[in-house]
Amino acid sequence: MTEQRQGTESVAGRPALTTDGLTKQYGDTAAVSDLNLAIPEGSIYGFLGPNGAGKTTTMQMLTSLIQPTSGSASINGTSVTDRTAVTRQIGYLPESPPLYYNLTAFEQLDLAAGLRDLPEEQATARIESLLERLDLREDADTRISDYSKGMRQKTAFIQAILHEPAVVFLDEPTAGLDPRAARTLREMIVELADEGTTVFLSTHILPVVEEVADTVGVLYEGRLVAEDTPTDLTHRAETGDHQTLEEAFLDLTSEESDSVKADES
Amino acid sequence: MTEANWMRHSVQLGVAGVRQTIRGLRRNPYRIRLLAISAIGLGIFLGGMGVLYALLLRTLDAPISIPGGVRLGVSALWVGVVWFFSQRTLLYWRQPRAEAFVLTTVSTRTTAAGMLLTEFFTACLVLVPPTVLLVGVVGYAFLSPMSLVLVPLAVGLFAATALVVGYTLGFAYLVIAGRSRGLANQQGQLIVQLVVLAVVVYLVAQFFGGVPAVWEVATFVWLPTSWLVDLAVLGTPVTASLSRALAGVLGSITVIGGGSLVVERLAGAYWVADPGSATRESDDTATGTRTHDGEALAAGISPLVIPGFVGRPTQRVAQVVLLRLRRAPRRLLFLVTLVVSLGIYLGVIYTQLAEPLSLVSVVCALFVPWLAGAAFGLNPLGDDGAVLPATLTSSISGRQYVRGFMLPGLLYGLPITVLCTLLGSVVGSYPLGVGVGFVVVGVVLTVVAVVLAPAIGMRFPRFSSVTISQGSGIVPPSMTAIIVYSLAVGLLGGGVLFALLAPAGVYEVVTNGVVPVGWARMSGVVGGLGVAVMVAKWGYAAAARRFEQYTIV
Repeated sequence: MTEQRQGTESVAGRPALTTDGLTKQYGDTAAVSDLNLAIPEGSIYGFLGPNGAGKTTTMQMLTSLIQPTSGSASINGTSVTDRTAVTRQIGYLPESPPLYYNLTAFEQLDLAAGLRDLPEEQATARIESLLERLDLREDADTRISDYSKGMRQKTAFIQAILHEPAVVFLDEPTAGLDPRAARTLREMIVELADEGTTVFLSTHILPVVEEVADTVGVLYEGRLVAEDTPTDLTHRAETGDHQTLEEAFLDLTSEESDSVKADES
Repeated sequence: MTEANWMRHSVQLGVAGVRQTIRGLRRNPYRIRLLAISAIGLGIFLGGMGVLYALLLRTLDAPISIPGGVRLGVSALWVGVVWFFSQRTLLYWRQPRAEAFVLTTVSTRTTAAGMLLTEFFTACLVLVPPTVLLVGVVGYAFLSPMSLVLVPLAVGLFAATALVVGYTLGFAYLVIAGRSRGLANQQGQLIVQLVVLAVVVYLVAQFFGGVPAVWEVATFVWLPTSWLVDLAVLGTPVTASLSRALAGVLGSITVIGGGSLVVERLAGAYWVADPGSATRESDDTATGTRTHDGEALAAGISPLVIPGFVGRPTQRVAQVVLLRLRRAPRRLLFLVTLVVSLGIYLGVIYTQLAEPLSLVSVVCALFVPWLAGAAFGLNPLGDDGAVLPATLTSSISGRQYVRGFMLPGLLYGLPITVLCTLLGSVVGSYPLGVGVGFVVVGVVLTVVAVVLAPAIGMRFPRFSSVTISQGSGIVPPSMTAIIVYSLAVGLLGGGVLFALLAPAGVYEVVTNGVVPVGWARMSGVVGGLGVAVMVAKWGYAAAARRFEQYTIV
């Protein structure tokens, strides 16, 4: 049984991320439908859902990479349709690490710092410290093409948080990491939140969510079908028996599957 | 070990491959439109020429002999097609499509044969219209039913032999490069240098006019590739050798069969068994810089420099552009074929001019700016590939991003343009005014080209890294971007150069003699440059806007 993040009850700041009826339509298919979120500053929001539920589409809308069909979303009051303004506040780690394979980690992170115009000394110190923390310092002058999947993931994670964003979006951040690195990354995610960063975390590794998330949202066929703390979510079954988050997730998505099918028929 | 039914599996792979190609084409409406326009234009031109030739041929009395020029032309075309296919090997087939699936499902023989069939089927699609035209011309000229069969057969054998030989050369090169780390690291530069050398040798040979006797037109009958011409015209009043036609068929079958086996061995060695295949991305794996003081990218491109006054975001983008090119120079392979074609074309023009050296500054003023844009910025979004989400969310502005792609072309293209146009003006013995005109035109056109390249490249991006050296994300620019960019630079530059070099009579006619020719010429050049600058300004704003509004598809 994983241990849940301590002190989560205290998280009740002003919303850092809000969505109101956020919808993305591809032709007749609704990838995301009427999504309403209000995620407090400094919290970790676990975003769950089966494959094809619309998680990545949601993250792409929230990071301004795609435009919503209808509804709105904002980061600290800035609409996500205003990319120039919103990108100053966010960091994004997509599922596939966004790295140039023929650069070294130093060069890649130097680029990321440069594109965000971070003060050089501050950026250098932060790069060094994050590389050290994630055990990448020794390999930082090796080209990323020679990295393992986990090393690439760690480099991309550093790139996403390098500029100390207000909200960071992480899509499967622990994928491909060994247990030690995965633990370090989980600890860093919690530290980010403790320092006031809002973390929007999408993953299929449910124990990670169970351990670090303050709130969990379950997306199914584009709709938010449940939202609660991990503890309450695991107690939501009709029987009232305690179950794991995984069991709750499976229950929610299969129930919804049945009801959606019933609605359609 | 080859599995049972490998031939059937190969055909299935070939059909799946060509289907992918067609679907890829369907997803690109701009390319379809360009292809349609080109096909209609070429069809009208070639069709008209064909009808004229057919009418001419009908008036000739039999027997008609095959001109040596036709034999030479067909053989030269065959060499060109071989070159084209060898380039496709390097660009598209370093790894088979869906490598992990295919290589763990079927044998390398099946995979290699599937690759060749994919390419052959695609070539057939392209060759159908010209073949129909050719059949029509030959059939109409000679009223020969045999042409209906023999012309397509000759075209098919022509394409298949060129394809197999091209892939043999391509994979032979890859295997050798894979086994020599030094060669692998330098392969991009080597290819570019070899091509430039070949073009220079060709131009020098043209200049000195020394043609060996073996190249006399009458002797071209010995070229085996020309024997397919004998095959195509069998049954017509054209005198053809049956033995040469048969030798052409048998030789082609031998080349196709034997070459396919060689391709299978070489491709298999490269894809699977070759120890050097681990270094397929070897030009990406050399040791990086050993320092980190916030200047890792600057150290990476040293001794080249991107000045800091342009701002850090722009500077970083420009540094990455240069670094990517330095570490994977095969990004420039798409330019090689274009440079070769241009070189050969210029060679032909060169021999026909009374004062051939006058061509040098024209080429420099037009071609160097084109190259400065094409080398660095014709596919900015595609070059970013998987990094694009990070770039788009990095808070860099559109203008900074576009300027980053312009900078290398400006910094390193401008001095080369000035130098080349100056030298060209001197060797071309132009008057001082015209010489200065060339330099000015070259400079302005370089600025225009390096702005237009990212603007057009971002309008027609190419992301299909799945098929092109996937690991390193090397994606050549889209054909649409190359054509549109070349047309834009060619038309704008060509217009200004025409204004600079047009005979005085043209201005006298245009101005009706009211304005002095010198003033009219100056106005023409300045006006042309003004139009080019306006187009570039519009392109710059459009590119910046496109970056800022770009959404992931």
